[in-house]
Amino acid sequence: MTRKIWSEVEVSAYLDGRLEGEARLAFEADLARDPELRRQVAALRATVALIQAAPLREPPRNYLLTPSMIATPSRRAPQRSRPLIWMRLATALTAVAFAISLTLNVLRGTVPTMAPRPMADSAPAVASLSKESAPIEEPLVLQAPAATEMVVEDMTTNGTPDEHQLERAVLTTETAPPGMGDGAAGGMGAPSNAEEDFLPTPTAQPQLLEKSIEEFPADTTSVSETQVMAMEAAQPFTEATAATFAQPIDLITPMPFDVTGEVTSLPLDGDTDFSTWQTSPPLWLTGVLGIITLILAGVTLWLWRRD
Amino acid sequence: MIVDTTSWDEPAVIAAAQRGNLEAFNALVLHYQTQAYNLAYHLLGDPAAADDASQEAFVSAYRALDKFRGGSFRAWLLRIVSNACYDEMRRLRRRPAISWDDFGELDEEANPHLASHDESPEQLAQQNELRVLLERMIARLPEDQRLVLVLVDQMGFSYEEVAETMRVRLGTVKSRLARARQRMQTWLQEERELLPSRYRLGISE
Repeated sequence: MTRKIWSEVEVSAYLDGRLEGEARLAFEADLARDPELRRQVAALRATVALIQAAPLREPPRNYLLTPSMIATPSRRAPQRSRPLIWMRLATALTAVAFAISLTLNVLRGTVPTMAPRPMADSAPAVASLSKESAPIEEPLVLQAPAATEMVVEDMTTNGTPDEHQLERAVLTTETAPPGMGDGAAGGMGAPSNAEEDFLPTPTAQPQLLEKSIEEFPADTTSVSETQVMAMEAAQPFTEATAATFAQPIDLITPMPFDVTGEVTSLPLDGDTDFSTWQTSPPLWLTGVLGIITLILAGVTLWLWRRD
Repeated sequence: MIVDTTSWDEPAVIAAAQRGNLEAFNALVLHYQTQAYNLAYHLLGDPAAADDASQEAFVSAYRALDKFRGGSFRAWLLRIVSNACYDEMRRLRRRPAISWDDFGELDEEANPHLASHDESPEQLAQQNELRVLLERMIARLPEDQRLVLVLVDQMGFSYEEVAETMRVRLGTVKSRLARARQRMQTWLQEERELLPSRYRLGISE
């Protein structure tokens, strides 16, 4: 039967009565038959006894407290070392610089400039604009709706032209559902109360309509090519367009420029300058400041813990 | 309140001290100051530093008395002492080491309350000789083993008290104590001839 080798922890615990249960029984059984284990226990017991026999060192004085000792802080405030003070200051400064740099970098990417590029080349052209020289012919034509084909079909199929029908045909918006109204209208919209349903018309259009009606021949089997072309050139009459011309047309569209030649608002020709709103530090500088801040903070923490 | 030290009722004394009775707290100081000083000395290795740390520890203990919620007052107090010693170490910025030059004679006249009158001068001399030898050996131990050995074998702490003082597990206390004792045994066997005669017989060669 092999002898169990008891560890020094178990022998020490047995000496202090801290080996319990089956372990203690087994130890005591081995102790009874193993002289080497007995010698080991005896030697350790003598060592412990010697340590316990040694008197404690006597304190040089009594440490009794007096009211004055407990009234004031017993220990002077720990003095901060100079390196720690300087490191704290350096860390704070770099942290502030990093924060400012980062803020400027972030703002650069989110705020576009609103300052347009000076339009120096176009200034003379702007300055030359006047009410008298503004083109006037296009608005009249452009506002006519482009329901041309339907108008042509109506005229050819219905024989005698119907004034109201023609007016409706020209002014009908693209949103008019097909098939509404009678077959002759061909989707031109309800024939009744058509005029009340119409959006306000531009002042130019009645002229065109009147002209068209007046010139319309009795035989409507064909429409003059000129009239068709004029109508084809007309843009679809939409609500937006009508709303724009709800008021009397000012043939001179006010330009967003000061006639003196200085650009005061955003030009509409796509030449807006979206350069940076304000000067910001380069991104690499922000990164370097961040790294330096981290290093200084680490050194400051080390110095503080050391002190 | 006059504290009667003949019948030591520690819970009552602690309760009185917690109510602000400074005399009651000073009774606790007298009861534990030797252990506190020895612990501080074994940690710092310098009598003057141990003296400062012990005084600081008792002042801190009085101010923190309301935080004591029961259990072993001795363990609670000596934890404060060890913390004061670590603060002193940081302040002095040096590792604890025993110094033969710092060892001084016991001044019983300065400390009549502590003077023991049971031993003869020869016995006292041998005790001091033993203490010096053991202190030199204890100082060679690693700090964690040294603390456990002093608390258990010199101050009679239980394993649980040591675990509470050092804030370690019970198994850690057992293993550190066993290793410290084994080393002390080896060194005592090596320096057996230096032991006082009355203590030499117990240590086999």
